[in-house]
Amino acid sequence: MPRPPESVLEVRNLTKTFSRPRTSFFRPPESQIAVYDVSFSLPKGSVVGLVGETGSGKTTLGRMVMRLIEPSSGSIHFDGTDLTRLNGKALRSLRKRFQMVFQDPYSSLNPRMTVRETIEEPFLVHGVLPDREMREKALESLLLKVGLDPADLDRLPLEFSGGGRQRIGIARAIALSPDFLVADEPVSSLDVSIQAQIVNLFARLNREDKMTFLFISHDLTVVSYLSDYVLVLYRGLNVEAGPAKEVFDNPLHPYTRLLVSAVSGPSDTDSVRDAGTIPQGQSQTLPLCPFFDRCPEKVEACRTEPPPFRISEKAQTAEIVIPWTHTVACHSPLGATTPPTPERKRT
Amino acid sequence: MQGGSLNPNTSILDVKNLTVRIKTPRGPVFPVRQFSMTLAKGDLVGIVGESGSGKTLAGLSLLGLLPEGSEILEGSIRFDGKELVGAPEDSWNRIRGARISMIFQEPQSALNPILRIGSMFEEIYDSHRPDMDGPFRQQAIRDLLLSVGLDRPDSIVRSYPHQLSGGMRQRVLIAMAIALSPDIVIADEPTTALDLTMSHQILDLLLERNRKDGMSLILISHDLGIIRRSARQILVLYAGHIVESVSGERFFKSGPSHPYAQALLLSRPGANRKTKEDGPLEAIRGQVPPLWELPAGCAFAPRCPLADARCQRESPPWIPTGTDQGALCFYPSIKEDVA
Repeated sequence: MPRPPESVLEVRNLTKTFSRPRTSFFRPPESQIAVYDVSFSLPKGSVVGLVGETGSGKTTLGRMVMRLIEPSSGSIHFDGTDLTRLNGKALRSLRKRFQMVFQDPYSSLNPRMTVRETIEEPFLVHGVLPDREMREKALESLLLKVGLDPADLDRLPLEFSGGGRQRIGIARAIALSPDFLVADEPVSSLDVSIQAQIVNLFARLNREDKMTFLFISHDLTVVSYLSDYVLVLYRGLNVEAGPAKEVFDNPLHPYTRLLVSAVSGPSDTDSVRDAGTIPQGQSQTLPLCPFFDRCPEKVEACRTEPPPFRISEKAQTAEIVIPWTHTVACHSPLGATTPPTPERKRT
Repeated sequence: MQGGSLNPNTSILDVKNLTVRIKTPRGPVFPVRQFSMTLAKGDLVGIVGESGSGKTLAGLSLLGLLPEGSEILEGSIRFDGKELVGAPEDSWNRIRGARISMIFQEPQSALNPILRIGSMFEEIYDSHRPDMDGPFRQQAIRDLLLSVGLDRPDSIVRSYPHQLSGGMRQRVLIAMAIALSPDIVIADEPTTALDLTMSHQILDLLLERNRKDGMSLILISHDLGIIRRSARQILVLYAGHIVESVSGERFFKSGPSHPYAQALLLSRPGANRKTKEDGPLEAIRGQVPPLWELPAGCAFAPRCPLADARCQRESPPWIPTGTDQGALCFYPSIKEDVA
């Protein structure tokens, strides 16, 4: 029986609640749940795609994993420690082991720092390779690795196009060989003819250097190309997770099916049209299913009970590890059963 | 003849050899060169290109809305039999919005943030239909908002843009664009700022207007997925030139003829490579050249797998590839239409 892969990171029951400004002096401040009770692990050497539309909480989740946003509850286990309990120095010393690639290569690089200064900074901050010559060698090989020329070291970001800048951002992120990378929409702001180059770069880093990625994107075709596993988020809830091929070929959740049919093209668009839009500014439905209003397959239980956690009928049931096991949170999914033991409790 | 020609009796817009010049400190650049297209009544033409290809400026020049510092150097725009290049501003004003209108990419910045939605509609009617009085106007605005799928028109009319979601704002913009039943709507990246499921709905809305009301549509996008859906003719732009004009059917079935158009199709996941196990994506090497550093010969030559010495040196010819179709290339692959 296959065993779940070793993981570099485990996220357990992560929740983030933002408080909204008071609408009136006489009313208590309301809160908005951005991410609700999300658990998953990052299998070593794999690409995990995090898919969702605007407001799904995918960026919030990515930033919590990076400890750039404080989670409201839940834990993040990395190399035997709970990252959410670390602060200050202890956190800083671990920082070099997980890095982030940002969406907009035009605003995420300091325009006054040369490529050398940008990529060298992590070495200096963490005191890695204090020897200048060795560091210089490392910088050159980094540039070659991301497809830039060592002669580019003394140029400024503005001399590069979007694709070139994103390569600089990636070189900076992988400079200290981190255990995993969070990439938040790293190709969305690039031109179509450049996107493939950067996607190929991610694929190569994953294949040749066994680098682990949490790849956040709204672009399903890119995610299904690059990812080994996917998590689908809808308004903060992880509605479905599993190996990429299984999720895209046999989506269990009605929302995932909607997304997949929206990509696959014109033949089957009626369902997309009828499915309405993400409601704006409506009252929070969580822990009840946030997809309820749009769902074509809702049942009576959706109105009263939170969506139960289920696993695909085809999945290995010996051990349940998200996203290695194909799972879904829904009352009426296609082809899924209740797990033998309740794995997650919802409060 | 790049954009293909139709029976002149049915064509409503006829653009010939339009060239736009921008004066820059580095000398003049030409973001749109020799742009020609023909649009019939009820027609749907898609314009594909990356940033810097000139697709947005081409669209703006059809509305006489070129930004300051840029001008039409030569060419002609004939709309409904009348020449628009060099036409006085007040004849543009009669056409703009009323007969040719535009939907912009960013619904946030295309709406006036300090006006209620209702006031923006009032502006449209004040300038084009002052004869239409209060109750008729209110009814017309309500009907328009309903027709674009906004079911509570009365509260929308009272809202400010920031109180609406991105999808709702884009619907409002579409309602404004079609308010005066224009002959032509130019939609510049109408869905790029929207989510996947939302962008399908917005596109459906535009296509429905095109089919049912015979509104001609020019759909400008970098996204082949958007263009895929039912464009009669596709113009592929690269560095200011139309490098290929091809029927929508042929583009997606037997494939385009120009190496750039072919490479664009192949560089997306899903064509030959569904997952990374199928091998790396067929990326186009290099990048789009800046307009002030265009190579001497074909603009795509430095990135083209077929380019030889002649492509580096000489401007490529326009070679017909079928009825109303052609490619700007020395070596287009000419395929038979798939029946």
